[in-house]
Amino acid sequence: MLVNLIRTLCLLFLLAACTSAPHKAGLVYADFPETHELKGEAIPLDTALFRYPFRIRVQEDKVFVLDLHGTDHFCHVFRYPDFSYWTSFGKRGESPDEQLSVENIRWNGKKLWLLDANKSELTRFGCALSGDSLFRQETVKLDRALLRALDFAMVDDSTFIIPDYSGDNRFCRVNRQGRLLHKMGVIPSSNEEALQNARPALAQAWRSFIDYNPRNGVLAAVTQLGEVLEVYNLKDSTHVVRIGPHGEPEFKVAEGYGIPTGIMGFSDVQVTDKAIYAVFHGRSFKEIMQNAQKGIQVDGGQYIYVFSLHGEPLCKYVLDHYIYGISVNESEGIIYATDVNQDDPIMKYKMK
Amino acid sequence: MYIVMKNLKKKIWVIGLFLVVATAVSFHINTEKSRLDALMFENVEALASDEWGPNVDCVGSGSLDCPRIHVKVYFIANAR
Repeated sequence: MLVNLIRTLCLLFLLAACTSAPHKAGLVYADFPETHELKGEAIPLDTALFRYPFRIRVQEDKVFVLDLHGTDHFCHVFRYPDFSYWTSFGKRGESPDEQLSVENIRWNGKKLWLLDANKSELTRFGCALSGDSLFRQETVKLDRALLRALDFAMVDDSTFIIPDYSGDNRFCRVNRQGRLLHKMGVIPSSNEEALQNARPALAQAWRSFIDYNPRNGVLAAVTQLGEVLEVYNLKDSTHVVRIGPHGEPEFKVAEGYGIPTGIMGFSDVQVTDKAIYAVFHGRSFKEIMQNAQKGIQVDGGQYIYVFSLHGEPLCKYVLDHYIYGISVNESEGIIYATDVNQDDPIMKYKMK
Repeated sequence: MYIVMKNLKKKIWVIGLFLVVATAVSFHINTEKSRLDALMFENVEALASDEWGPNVDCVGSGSLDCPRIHVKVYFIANAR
């Protein structure tokens, strides 16, 4: 009888231990099996165009750079590989043919798309027949139900994926006409109270940058706050959540807004054929504000994290510059990165 | 033999007692934690509605999307 009692108690004890398990909604990683230091080479440009070079895309013989705070134009194009200036597009302004803001630019085959969150529009650009400029070919007005589109990826020629800003789901699938087809996934947060009572603030705190590779069907999302990577394989419908040492996004709720309180996390992500590359900052807002008060303003991340296509940590690159956006060429072992802190803002890194 | 049995019974009682206490403590900690979490969230809500007032400050030029004015800023803070 005593033995039975002890067995029951053991079971109860184990159950109690289970209920006190950590609240993480995903798999936790502590570190990377490999760390390499990389020294970059600044690419000299013949023009001083940039205020905040946020994204960089290398497409065939051209390099496209998105300037988040561009004064006249948001996007500038250079010839590759000599980086001589070619043209600018995405003119800032309030007329129907101009942009209020640009969040991201992406190539889909031969088509270049640009997202303007403040106009809630996706615009397709094409090359003029003369071959010396880009012009608007198509504008897609986004569904009001999307609230605010802060990044996008193209699944195929007729479908966009946009992170859900309502907090009800994780992503929205949108058709070529801009209409919301359906929403999918949920924010993998362990903050039950926020999930129940403050979803818009939660969605703001979980603002994520995304990338999709149609060749392997991998959609990756990284959080701007905290340290969370999500990997969705749209081909086999698997989903993995990886949470780093800094945990999930931390925030306070004020007037329904999500106010960041933890750390700046990721600022860009790229899914290649073999791996997922993400730029990581890892600086606390406390430190950022203290430095700002001292007049020190360094922006960007000193790390590029490399994960497998299943989200397992593979390698960490420690850089000699603070960078924002990346363009990874795996076959040549080169990463081009943007640095918002210096006058020559494009850096070239050779991977080890 | 009798002494060995007596010792074994004693040991079982001690282990049993330990497990009862450990289980009770574990349940207590869990309940306390959820109560604390709930309290913390209530505090955040209270701060949000009363103490923090109507202002959210969006400072500088950066990549954070200011939820109030929809421009990209360096950091977002409460104006108190």
